[in-house]
Amino acid sequence: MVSNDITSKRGIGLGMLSKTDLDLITQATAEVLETVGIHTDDPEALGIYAEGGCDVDRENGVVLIPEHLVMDTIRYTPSKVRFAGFDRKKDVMLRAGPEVHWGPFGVGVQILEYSKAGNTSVRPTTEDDLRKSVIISDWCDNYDVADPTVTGDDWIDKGRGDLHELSTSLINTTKPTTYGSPEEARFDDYVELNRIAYGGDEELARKRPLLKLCYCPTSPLDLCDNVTQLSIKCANNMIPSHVISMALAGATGPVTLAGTLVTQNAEVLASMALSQLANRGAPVVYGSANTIMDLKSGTASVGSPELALLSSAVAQLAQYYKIPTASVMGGWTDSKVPDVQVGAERGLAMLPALAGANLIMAGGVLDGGMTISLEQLVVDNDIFGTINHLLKGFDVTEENIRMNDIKKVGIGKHYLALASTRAGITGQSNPLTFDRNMRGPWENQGSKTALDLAHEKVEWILENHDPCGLDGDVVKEMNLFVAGKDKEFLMENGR
Amino acid sequence: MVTQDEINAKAKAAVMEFDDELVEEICEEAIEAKVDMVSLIQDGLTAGMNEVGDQFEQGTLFLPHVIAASEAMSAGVAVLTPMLESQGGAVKSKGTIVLGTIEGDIHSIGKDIVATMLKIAGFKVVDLGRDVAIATYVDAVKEHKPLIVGSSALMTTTMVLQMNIEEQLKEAGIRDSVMTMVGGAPVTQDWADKIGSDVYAENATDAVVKCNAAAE
Repeated sequence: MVSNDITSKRGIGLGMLSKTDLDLITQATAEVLETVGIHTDDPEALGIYAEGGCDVDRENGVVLIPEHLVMDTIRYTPSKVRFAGFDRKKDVMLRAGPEVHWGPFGVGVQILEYSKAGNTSVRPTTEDDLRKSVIISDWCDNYDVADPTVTGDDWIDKGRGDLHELSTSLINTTKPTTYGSPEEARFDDYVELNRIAYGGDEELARKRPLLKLCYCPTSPLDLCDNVTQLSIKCANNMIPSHVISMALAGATGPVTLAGTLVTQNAEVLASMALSQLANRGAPVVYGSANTIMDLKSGTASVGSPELALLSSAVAQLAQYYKIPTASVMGGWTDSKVPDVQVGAERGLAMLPALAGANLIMAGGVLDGGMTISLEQLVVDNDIFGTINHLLKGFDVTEENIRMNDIKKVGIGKHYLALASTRAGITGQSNPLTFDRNMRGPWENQGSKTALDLAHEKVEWILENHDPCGLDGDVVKEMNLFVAGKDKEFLMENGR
Repeated sequence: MVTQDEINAKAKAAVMEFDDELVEEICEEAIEAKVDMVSLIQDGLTAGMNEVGDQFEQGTLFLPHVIAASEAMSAGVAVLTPMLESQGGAVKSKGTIVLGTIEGDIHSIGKDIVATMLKIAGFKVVDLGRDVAIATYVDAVKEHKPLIVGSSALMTTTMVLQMNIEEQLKEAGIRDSVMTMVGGAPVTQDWADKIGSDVYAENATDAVVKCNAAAE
């Protein structure tokens, strides 16, 4: 269902930043890392930075990274990273360049219940919501990855929510999936779950890890232990990871987008430097959840055009460094309900797509990522399909001009009966939830909105789509492993 | 020698493959084999057309398939017609419908689709083309004595002329002998009611449904 054809979805490469701009940002980033540096309290990280040639102040946990090391980091970071799916055909190869992929995203703690009348309500998320969300993303053609969009909040204080979230994701899709809330102290459990998912096949588990993790520096310029340890552990185990800065221009980055582009770049490259010092060639990719703090309301606005601009700039910067991008936020929304605001803000994802961000994440998101709607997830599949269609542009060849057809049909007749027209049906845009009828037939079919149609699709998918590619015994073993860890968790916490 | 059933099956398959040249060849073969022309049209060509129509209704085939199948069928009928007439046979029709895109308007693709769909549904369609003068509609009603005369308009400026069809049919004293049908993007049920048109067709499918109802 998913096309991994590398020529099919390429941005046109927005030239928003000139080469001079890119050089200026890179030089400024090197100056920040060399003079201001980054902070970490992690002794292991401090040791690795020191050994790598950084000027390390252990007392204050400040690391000054010399320019040559920044350049080495850019050079040694791979220009392509495979995100393996359980089904090899669904692998996503992230390559430095303008090839575009899409994913759902969010760490939603609330889910929006559908209601036709428009009276929406939200409730806390559960592991079952996460399962449904992954199954839906697996089914939807335009999602290249099936990351979970919600957390399994029913496991808070009852067990190992992280392992429930990870195993439920791995079991319910054959597409690549990334776990977004890893804890470094539990890294070994994630690796073990990856091994069990492959039925204990160590080699497959190592060569084609289903496990992919992401982590975020604390802006400005702080790498907490979770980031440094995940950088080191993922590098040593060759687990693909996304480094995502979440700088807020005006609050945790300079108020200018150019300034925030520099500080977030310093944060990401500092983390990548640690990865490359730990294990040269480690598969890390460049992410961006940078946006503004809305200085009037004090909130992190993710439906802003600034988010789209920063994501697009990161795509261009990473292309300049020949580093793939993933977890590039595009077209998130601040809206609390699926409405016109979502449509407008989600459409902004077109900007990073045109810029050629390699993996743009936004599906299902409402309310700055805090609330998820399964119906919105299905509608977004159509929005991203629409953008994919825009990326196709024109394929101007002699064959495609169809001179013979033009001459055959001549003046005033039509092209409907031609064989080439029939052959062209499947190449047209074909949204599932955007009704193209005129009013009469639309009313006759129940006056359904995109959201209504998406709800029907959600119900159909959950009824009919079982994407699990794992052996029944493997699933049983994964569940046993997680249940064992639940028990340990309860004992440790005296319950 | 080829049997009736064999040639009907071949014709049906060729229509479903949208192959107008093959349909013509089969019809020529049928003439040589002296099979029943009416059966060939009804149980061969039309059967194939109906199958395509059913799949269109189910959403597994689309408009270009229907139009192409219809053209393939028409190519066959054109081959068979002289023979059919000399045999004195006739294919049963639900009735005649005169269609045209109104004077001043050359936007005829919608009308073409309606004409195709009505043919498929078993009507004899007299297509007057586009930019059709009001008097031409009136003359066609006199000549063909249709069940329905339909006009399409894409623009509000040409839509008003649909009123003139009503008036001129009345003036000619034949308004009661025929039903009028109107359609086109700006045309609504309200407009049809206002000018006194008998049938408003929202789209091709709607036109077929309403013409079928009128034919009963």
